[in-house]
Amino acid sequence: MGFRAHACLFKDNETVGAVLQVFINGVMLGGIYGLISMGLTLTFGVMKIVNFAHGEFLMLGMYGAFWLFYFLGLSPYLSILVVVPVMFLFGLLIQRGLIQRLIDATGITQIFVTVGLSMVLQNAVLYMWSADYRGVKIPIGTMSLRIGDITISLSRLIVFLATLAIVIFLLLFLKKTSLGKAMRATSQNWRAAWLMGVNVRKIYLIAFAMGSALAGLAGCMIIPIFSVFPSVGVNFVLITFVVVVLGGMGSIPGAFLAGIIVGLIETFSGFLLAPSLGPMVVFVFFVLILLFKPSGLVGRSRI
Amino acid sequence: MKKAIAMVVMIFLVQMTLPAFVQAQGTVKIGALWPLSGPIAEDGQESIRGAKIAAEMQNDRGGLWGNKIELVTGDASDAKAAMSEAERLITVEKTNIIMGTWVSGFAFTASQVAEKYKKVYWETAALANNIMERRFNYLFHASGLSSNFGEMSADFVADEVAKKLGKDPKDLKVAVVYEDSLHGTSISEAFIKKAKVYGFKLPVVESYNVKAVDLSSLVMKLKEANPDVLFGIHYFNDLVLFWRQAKEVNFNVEAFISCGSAGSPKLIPQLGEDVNYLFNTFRLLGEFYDGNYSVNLQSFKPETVADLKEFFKRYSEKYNVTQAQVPNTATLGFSGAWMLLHEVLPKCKSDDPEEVRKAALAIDLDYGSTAHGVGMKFAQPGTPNQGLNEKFVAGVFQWQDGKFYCVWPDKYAVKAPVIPMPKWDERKKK
Repeated sequence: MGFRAHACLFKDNETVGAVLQVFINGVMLGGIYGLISMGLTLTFGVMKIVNFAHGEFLMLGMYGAFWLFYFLGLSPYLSILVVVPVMFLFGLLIQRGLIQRLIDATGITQIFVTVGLSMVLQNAVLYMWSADYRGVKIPIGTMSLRIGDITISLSRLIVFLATLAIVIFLLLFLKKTSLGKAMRATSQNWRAAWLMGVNVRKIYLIAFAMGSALAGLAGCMIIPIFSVFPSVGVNFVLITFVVVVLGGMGSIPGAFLAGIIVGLIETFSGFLLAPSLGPMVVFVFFVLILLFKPSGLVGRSRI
Repeated sequence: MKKAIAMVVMIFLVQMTLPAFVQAQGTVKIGALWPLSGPIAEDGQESIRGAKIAAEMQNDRGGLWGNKIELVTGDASDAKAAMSEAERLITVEKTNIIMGTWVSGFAFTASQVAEKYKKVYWETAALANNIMERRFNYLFHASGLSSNFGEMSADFVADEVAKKLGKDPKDLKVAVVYEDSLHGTSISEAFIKKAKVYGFKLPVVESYNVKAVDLSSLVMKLKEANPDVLFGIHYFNDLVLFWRQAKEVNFNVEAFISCGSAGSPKLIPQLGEDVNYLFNTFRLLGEFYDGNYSVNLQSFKPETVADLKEFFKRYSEKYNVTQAQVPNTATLGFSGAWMLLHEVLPKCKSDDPEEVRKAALAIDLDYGSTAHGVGMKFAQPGTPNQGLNEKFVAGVFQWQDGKFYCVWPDKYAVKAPVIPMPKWDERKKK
């Protein structure tokens, strides 16, 4: 059915415009995926722990931005100044209280504990704030730039540019600062780093907290686009894992690139085949990559 | 002496049984199974709020057979949970009747459990036709099915929309999008069947997943096809995402008829003025705007109107909203529960499933005798759709100026429909 609808794809000039629009949509969507994946890939790169509650950290960031908007009328983009430090502290607490104890645990234990954390957070939020969908309706939410026939959603463009900025910032941080270097050393070989005088415990603490803060940042940036409800993290977390693995677990630029590729695959297969197949094609692609290049597209599993 | 002992024993025995007569106030437990967590939790929680108010109202009128009604809630967060919760309500909580469920997939599985145990399942809302095709003996459906809504939407398009656009139905381009669960699939099937009878052109028929994070491909496909009319079946969150993305990409259409959550007042904080001109095919569930109901109540029974008004009063006081903001999911939860607790059960002497079943099958009330306008006459055993309420009625509503009015059919309409919908650029000028 899908192919029949596009039998005239290459005959129509208008459809060239449509293809370009789908491309733009894919890149913008990819920006969102990349942003959400930043924190997860950083945490994994340094600590080698998969945080299955990452989606819930995102959800908390979204709620934070929502409540600040609801009670103080604060724009989500300004809420970043509040939400990010709060999520950083939250990450410190969770790491110290829970994650630290998992460092030596088997993979199965890690999975169970972070999944458990995910359920606890979802249900705590459900209890406190109910299942109502909360959205932030600001003008930017539906504004778009129009260039000829192409429209670019403004809120998504902001996300894309922000993600680019964060990638650059993180790369500079990891390369130039001593803390960043210590993180890279820990990620490469924690024993050697420890022997060289790096306080590995402190690095783990900070890396996890940064992952949480990045999730909070992502939450603030996407609340103008998506409504938040207690299980919203579930909608994102699967794609986030795909992006992180595709980009090479621990690679920051890899996650950004993979995000864009995933976004493009989703929008193009959605447009050319059927909208319901978009995510499926992504997963098929994911399986193929894992079969032929398991270390991901960018090829390293360290930051 | 023996007589005296006999007397004492008698009095003693009588005294032991006496508390049973004096303590008349027991409870009747009735199961209330709705999605309370997960993506559909919003609708589930509102449904339960409505059902609880129905229970309270009936309790204020003496309850059932001198007993207070107690609703025991279950969380049908997905199809499996629906089954295990139904099992729990029946085997652990010992309820003989379960009300529910809103989501077709959950209603399907939970009612199977009830049928197995020969307990009454009272479905108030779920739409999929296949729920009732199984001809269960203990399953009753108080409201309409997908086929009703799908067909009615097609009727509206052919009748009103084509007329207002000055087009013959056979020249009308109608796009159909639907969320891919049982709900969306069954309504779209019914719509398409009727659409073919009318001869609509169907350039796009697409499904999508309710959890989708991006619907831009769908909107792009629609934009490319350039339909006159869009018919969509959505739940709440995906409708918001879809309509926002439609605005971003400047996708315009003359009429957008949604069948689903497009009637919720909670859309206003999410969509603001963009909600205007959306149509929703749904049950006759309105709001009170400045004391006026948005459905024509003239053909409703006076007691029903009074009960409806009482529900609205209680809901708005309890949950601190105006009478214009009561979610229609709650009103439906109330109406469905009221049909059971106020009309059917008082005709029984207990909640014995056999008795309840007989009473439900015997009941015959005219249209306008329930809060959402339907009558009550359940399809008899042996007929297709056994247990379905055959006296069903619904209408088409439209958002105008942030208010939700019934615009079709004429019998229930309070305002005329506005067609075509202004383009996005024209809207900005307001």
